[in-house]
Amino acid sequence: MSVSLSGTTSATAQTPDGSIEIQALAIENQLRCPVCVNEGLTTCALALCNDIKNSIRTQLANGRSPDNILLFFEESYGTQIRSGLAPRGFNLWLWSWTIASVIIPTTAIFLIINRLRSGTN
Amino acid sequence: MPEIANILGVAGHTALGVTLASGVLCVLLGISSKTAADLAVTYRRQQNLIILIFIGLAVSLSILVYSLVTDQFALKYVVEHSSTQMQVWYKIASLYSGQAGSLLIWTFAISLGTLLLSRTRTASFQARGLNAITILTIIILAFLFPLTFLSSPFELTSRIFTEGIGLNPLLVDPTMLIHPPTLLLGLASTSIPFAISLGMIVSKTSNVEWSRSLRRWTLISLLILSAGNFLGAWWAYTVLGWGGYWGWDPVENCAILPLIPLAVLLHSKPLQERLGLFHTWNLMLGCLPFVLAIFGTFNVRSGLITSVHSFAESDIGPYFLGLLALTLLTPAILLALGGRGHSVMHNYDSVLSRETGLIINNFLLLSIGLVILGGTLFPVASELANGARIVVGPLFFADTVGPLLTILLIFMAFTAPLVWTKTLKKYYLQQIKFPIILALLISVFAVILGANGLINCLAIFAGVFGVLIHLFEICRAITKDTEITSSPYDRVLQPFKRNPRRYGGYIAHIGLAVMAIGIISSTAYESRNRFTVEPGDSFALGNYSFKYQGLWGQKPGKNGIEIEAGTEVTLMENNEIVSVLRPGRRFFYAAPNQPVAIVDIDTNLIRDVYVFTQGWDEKQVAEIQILIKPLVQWLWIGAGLYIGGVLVSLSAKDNSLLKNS
Repeated sequence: MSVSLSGTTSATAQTPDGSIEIQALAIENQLRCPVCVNEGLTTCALALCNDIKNSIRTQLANGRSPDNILLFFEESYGTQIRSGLAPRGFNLWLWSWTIASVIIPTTAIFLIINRLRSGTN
Repeated sequence: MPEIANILGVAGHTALGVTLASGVLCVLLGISSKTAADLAVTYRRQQNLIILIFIGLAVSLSILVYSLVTDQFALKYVVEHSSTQMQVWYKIASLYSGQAGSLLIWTFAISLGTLLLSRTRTASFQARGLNAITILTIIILAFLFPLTFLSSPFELTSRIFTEGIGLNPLLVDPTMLIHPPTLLLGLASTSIPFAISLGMIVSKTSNVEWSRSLRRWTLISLLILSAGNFLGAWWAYTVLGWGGYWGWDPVENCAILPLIPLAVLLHSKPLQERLGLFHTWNLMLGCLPFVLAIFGTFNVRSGLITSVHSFAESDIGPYFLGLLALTLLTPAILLALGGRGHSVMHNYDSVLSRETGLIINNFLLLSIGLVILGGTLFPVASELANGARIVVGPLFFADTVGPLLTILLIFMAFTAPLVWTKTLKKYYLQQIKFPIILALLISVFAVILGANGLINCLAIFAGVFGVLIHLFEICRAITKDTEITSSPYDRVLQPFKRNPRRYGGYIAHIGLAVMAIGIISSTAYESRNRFTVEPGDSFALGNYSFKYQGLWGQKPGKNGIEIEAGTEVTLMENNEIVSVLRPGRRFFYAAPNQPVAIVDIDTNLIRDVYVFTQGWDEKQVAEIQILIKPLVQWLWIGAGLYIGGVLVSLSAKDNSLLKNS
């Protein structure tokens, strides 16, 4: 049974260069949809996200580096578009919390064990 | 017919009302009992009232299910979540697709747990069980109040409807028939350890029976909540189309957070028993899972931290914020006012002991829990501080929680052979020698095969070492056993029968290690590519070749699905056809712009070939995404082992639910 439907992406008849595609997917993995909440760019089917994906491939084909492409989108849409959380600005509060969440329990381990050992001695 | 719906609505409201009245009476009885003579009489009366509460909620639930199945569109809830086009099991699934239905299931689940707890007949439990039953009834009332007055599932519509909106498209999947109710049951079950712990705080005392009761209900809660989370991961993998199974979505984080204090409590209770340590800490740990479960409910109901799951937002958020504050502050204030039991200190003989291992692992788990909590709350904090919400994506959690989990796995493995009190260094080195050498060899082999990255390699080592060390411990127990058994099968089972707590725990730990191997392999060593192809085109990824045959389509005519369509892709290896895969999209009448992915996967124990169709055009030119995920099936196998291990641990004789004095 054949189906004729408009798809969610405008596909081209040519398969893009394999290495560009792999690089493009790696860049997509580091970006989020600028509209949806916590939706990765790779899986988002919005027209805006499809445009971003096409733009990534075009920029790679034109020789732009992945880091510059990521920076381009960050400047265009804000830091929110990045999947990761750069350790700068207000984000430092979360990174500080994370470090404290490791240091404080680790310190507690040593203190408790030392206290138990001195209690035994 | 509207008349029947009216009758059902009235009956439902009446059942809730009777339940509410029974609950109020039960609480009044509990708090008015003064003397020891009163206690036994009151406890029997409370047991009867709990039965009435359970029946009332069962009746309410049955009325709502009947209304959904028979399309009673005079009820607002049925209109908003069901439709005539849905198959009967999806109509039943509508029960938990909305807020009121979810709350009803929550309340019913708590009443079931309360009923089971109230059937414990030991005299020593009855004297103090009063507090736990009273507390649980207060919790039931706290959920009944919004159900009865704020968000009733039996509200009638203002006009006549002949059709409903139907289920959220994402919920039209077989996994959604079991994942949400399992998760809801798991979250609701955390109320039992909460009530027992708070009861112990209130009565300022503890005994062996209470301690055992707390442990078995902690295990039950851990079991159900873990299963709910695994099912959610399975659903994400097979439905969402991004090839992953855990997105660190805020609501996913809220579902996993209660597991942390449950796991810590399980491993901290032995420290209390042996060293007299952490008595107050364990009481708080018993309360925390339920506090976090309420926190998660508050998140979803208020939309505080929006995510793809927040389809049940409403204005009931402030009520749950108040409930959250109450459940958090009550035990904290009572403990601060001196609700602590008496601890007896035992000697701590050696750093090289099981006690040390448990202390280290517990605090590592605590670290992980704090990091997840911080990442989940950070968007709210950023919005409050700056007016701009900063969303924390999965990469943050992968970069932080991933390494911490690896360290936890390594310590879990290194501490497995430790014995209580003191482990001789020579004995310990002998126990770990072969597993660690074997694990190192396998890890080196993995590096030769292409494993890279320090954390990835460490995680592989941790997983393999974790499996081997626990297997060696089990084998040692089997071979050391001198009891004469009738068959080799019985001999293998002997350690699990003698000490199900310990060896069930080992199986669960093996499950976690196997899951780690599956997760690392399938994420760090995944291959993926996207291809834009015409019918007849061939393409390749890794050792596999694919051929796009063309489009397919069908009209299921059920569950509100307008059409299912997609691409047909032949998967080949060494020029031999392995399978034909048919990924695509499912389009719903009610949500034409919200198609749901149809993923197709060719699976075996070595790898999954995961195929997803991004889209296509009128010329049948399609965009197809292929992922090759090594060893991903071991994630699910590990989850099964973990569940099995917890079940074995739960079977320990001191965990029997009903025990006569």
